[in-house]
Amino acid sequence: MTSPCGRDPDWLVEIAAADPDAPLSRDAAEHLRTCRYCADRLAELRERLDRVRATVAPPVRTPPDLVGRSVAAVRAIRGGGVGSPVLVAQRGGSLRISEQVVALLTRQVATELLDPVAGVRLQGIVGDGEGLALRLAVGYGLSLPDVGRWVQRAVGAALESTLGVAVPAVRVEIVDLLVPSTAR
Amino acid sequence: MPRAGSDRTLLAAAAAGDTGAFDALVRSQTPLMYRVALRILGNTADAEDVVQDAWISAWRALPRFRGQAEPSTWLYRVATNAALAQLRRRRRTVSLDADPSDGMIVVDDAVRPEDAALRDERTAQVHRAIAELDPSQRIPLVLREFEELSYEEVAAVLQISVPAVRSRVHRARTALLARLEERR
Repeated sequence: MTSPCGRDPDWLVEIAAADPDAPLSRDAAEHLRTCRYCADRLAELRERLDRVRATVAPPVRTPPDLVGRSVAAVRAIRGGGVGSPVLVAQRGGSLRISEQVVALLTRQVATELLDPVAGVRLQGIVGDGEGLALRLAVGYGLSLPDVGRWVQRAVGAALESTLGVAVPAVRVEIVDLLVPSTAR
Repeated sequence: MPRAGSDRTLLAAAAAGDTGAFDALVRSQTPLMYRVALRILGNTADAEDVVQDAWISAWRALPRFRGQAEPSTWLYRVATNAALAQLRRRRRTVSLDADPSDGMIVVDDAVRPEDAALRDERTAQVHRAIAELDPSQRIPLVLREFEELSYEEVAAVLQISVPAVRSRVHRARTALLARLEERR
């Protein structure tokens, strides 16, 4: 669509997208003084961007338990949560895999495993010194024991395949229920 | 930007091995991390995951934090990197049908139901339009327009030049206007 004045309307988009305090070229300023259509259209485009700013600007409410989950996630990774490092016997010596690596690996494995699964979300991982616990939110209608067993088995198998030895205990805790409006 | 003095003290203490200082930083700055992640990702569940990932990354990166960067710059960088990683993981599976305005809290509640419905639709349109922007444009736009960082601060967070930030923000606004125009 062309403006009644014959200008390509995109030139107004370019001006509207510039910083509000950016100076106009002499040509643009002169045209906007004389062309009512372009002046109105520019005002409309600027108003649209202002509406975008106003839409996204309102405060965002942090989920009340997110701070606690974040602290727990870091604590699980920085050690002490797994209980002990994993030792793998090798010819001529042994391989020691630190607690931190085991915790990071568990988190990664669980995230990748559960990412594509509808109705099961990893809320976090916590360690209590004797092992790690996967905290899950599970969709309403699913069998909680079945989900728990499946996650425990699948994560355990993935860890064992990577570590090459029996894995430390991984518990599953179902800590939240995803009701239909939140189960995305 | 978050308050620099106390964050610098906490970061310095955390880098020196004070785990309590790091936990205090997590408690004070999780709202910032979540807000940035949500504005970039447009999805509450993903944003919650990203916040935990971001704090784990921050903790692991602590030994490399020598205080050259402003603490706020460092925190924004950690949050945006974690959000970007999540976007890359999600790239193949993101559904544009999902309502990306979920979890965005709008404060002006005193409106009539029909106005609220119209507002919600417009809000959803805006968030959808932002979510469709390429991350290379979306992230600078979020930091500049909605987090209200200066161009110089955005450049420091993203470790790119100020002209590059200006160019990306300009292109983001242009693309945003074009998308919103299509949906009128």
